[in-house]
Amino acid sequence: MKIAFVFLFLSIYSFGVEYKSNLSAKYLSYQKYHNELQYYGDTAFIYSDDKSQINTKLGFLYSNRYEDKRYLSVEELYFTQRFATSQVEFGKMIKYWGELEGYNLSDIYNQKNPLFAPFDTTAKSGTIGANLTTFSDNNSFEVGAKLYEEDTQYPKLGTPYSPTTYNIDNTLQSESSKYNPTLYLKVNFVTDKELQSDSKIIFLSGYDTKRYFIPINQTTISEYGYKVNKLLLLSNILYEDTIFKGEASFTDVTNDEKMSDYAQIALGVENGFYDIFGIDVNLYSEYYRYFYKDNLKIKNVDMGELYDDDLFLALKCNFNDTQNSVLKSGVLLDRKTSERLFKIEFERRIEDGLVFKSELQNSVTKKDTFLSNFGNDTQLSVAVTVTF
Amino acid sequence: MRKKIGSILLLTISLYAQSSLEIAKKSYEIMSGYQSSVSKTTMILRNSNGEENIRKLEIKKLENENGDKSLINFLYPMDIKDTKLLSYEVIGSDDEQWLYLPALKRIKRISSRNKSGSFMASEFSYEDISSQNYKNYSYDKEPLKVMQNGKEYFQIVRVPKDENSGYSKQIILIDCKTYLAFRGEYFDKQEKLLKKIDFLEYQKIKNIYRIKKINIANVQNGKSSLLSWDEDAIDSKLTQSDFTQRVLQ
Repeated sequence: MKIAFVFLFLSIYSFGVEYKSNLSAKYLSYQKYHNELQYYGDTAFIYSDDKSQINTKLGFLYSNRYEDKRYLSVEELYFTQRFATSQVEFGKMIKYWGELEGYNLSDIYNQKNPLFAPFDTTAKSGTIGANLTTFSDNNSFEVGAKLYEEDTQYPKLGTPYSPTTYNIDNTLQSESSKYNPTLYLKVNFVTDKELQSDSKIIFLSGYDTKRYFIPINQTTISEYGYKVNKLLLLSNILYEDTIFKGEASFTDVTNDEKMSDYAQIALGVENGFYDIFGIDVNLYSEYYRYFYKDNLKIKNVDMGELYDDDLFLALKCNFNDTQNSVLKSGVLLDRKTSERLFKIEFERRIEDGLVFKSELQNSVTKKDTFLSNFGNDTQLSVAVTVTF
Repeated sequence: MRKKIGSILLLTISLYAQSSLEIAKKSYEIMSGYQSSVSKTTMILRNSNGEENIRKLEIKKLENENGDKSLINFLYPMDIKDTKLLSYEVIGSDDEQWLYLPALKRIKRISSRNKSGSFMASEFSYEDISSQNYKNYSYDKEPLKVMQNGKEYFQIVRVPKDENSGYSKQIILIDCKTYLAFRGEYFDKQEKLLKKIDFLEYQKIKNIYRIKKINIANVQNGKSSLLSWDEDAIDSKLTQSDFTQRVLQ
């Protein structure tokens, strides 16, 4: 097996495949849980010629303390065939649909990866699908399908930030077969005359990426997937040095007894202040809100809404030094429950290809909320990442 | 010191034959007509202690009547590899810019108002590396003819039209024979000398002059950056479609 792997690796090199790898070691100190040392990383290979491309990305996570936080996975493996004004892609892909910084309600192509980073909504698992996109200048029209619904791997009880007090069976329960495809249409258009703006309209029919938990037995719960028709609207507008951003979704739940139709809206503003003693400062303020058509219905399910009536305030300081030092800090405030999640992180390149990162996270939770399962906690981490 | 002063003999003669605008236009045109280009560059950043850092970039450019388009692909250091910056120059207005962040697979529109901000932590600002189209400046003063090291140069003063520029004015020396920029002094908003720029080397490709080496020194912080073109190809058959959001991903 090892010989086969080395042979495969050498073959890849001999064909001139582009590659990039990240390897990280991170020590996490928790207030409420046992500390852990994590090793994680990924390797991306790209083989391309004039018309086609194959992308592969392998990822791994190894925690010295928590056995369920150990995996090796193919995060992406997809083929792209390019034509003059269009392209076809199929395989396991990660896509980004969003405009805001703190949370993207429309980033629903992939499931999140709570095992890797429970509060990091950019940690995602690859989804198997196919799409055809046509391009005209900066505008595009995409029609695609997600072929089936993946299971989400949650941290087990006793592992930091396990979302419930029950055991979780990671096998997805669903309205009908998980292998029913979810179809989508996506239109992307750019304006540059009166206003500089980018907008997207997405219509999706199939399984909702948002799921709720159902009991399997007295001690175990499982995720449940239901079907929806969903309209997503995304936009950013640049005015002078301010970027106004918006994301909205209107979801019609087709046939689920427990889940109500709902709408989500998120609005954000990004402001840049440049060259303040050599430092560029970006300020972000965002607001997220859910509206359920039938509130009585929704009370029967534990949706784990982290981003309802929440305010996100953050700043990013780019020090413009040769080490690319960046300081980011943000707080997520729940206006209803007064829960809050605070984070500050600092990143700096030590050597070319070697980056140091340190992070402090503090959560203050209230009784009988989704976050109360995590409890109040302070987490401090230091990490180094080698890129080669 | 005397030797230095002696070697820089400054003769100031008012020159009425050509206006500063005409000289700037000619200087711009002498380097235009490449249609599209693909270049690989190395940037050496030096701090005040002389310590060096290296950056590598691939730059694609497309000439356009209403403003050039460019795509910068960051190649080195590895942790920022594949980050891309797509820019559309808009004469007389803010440029359009998008940044591609490979870790997130995200295309993010960014404000181009940060003209004076450092590009990749170098002493080059965003406006230093963007198109030096003569239309982006006003030229109030008459040109002067000056001598440096026995060579004759036009000295023109240009003032950025963009109010977000980090400069109050730029004094440029342009070779009287070739119309190539030779040296420049850039002044900050308080009209203090901020940077000295040396256009160290040019090469001629298909009869068009191309810059090969530029050094910029910040006289206020003692740092400097050297940008050199390792590979440069012009008339590269790039089209508008090579400068769209599609190519960012």
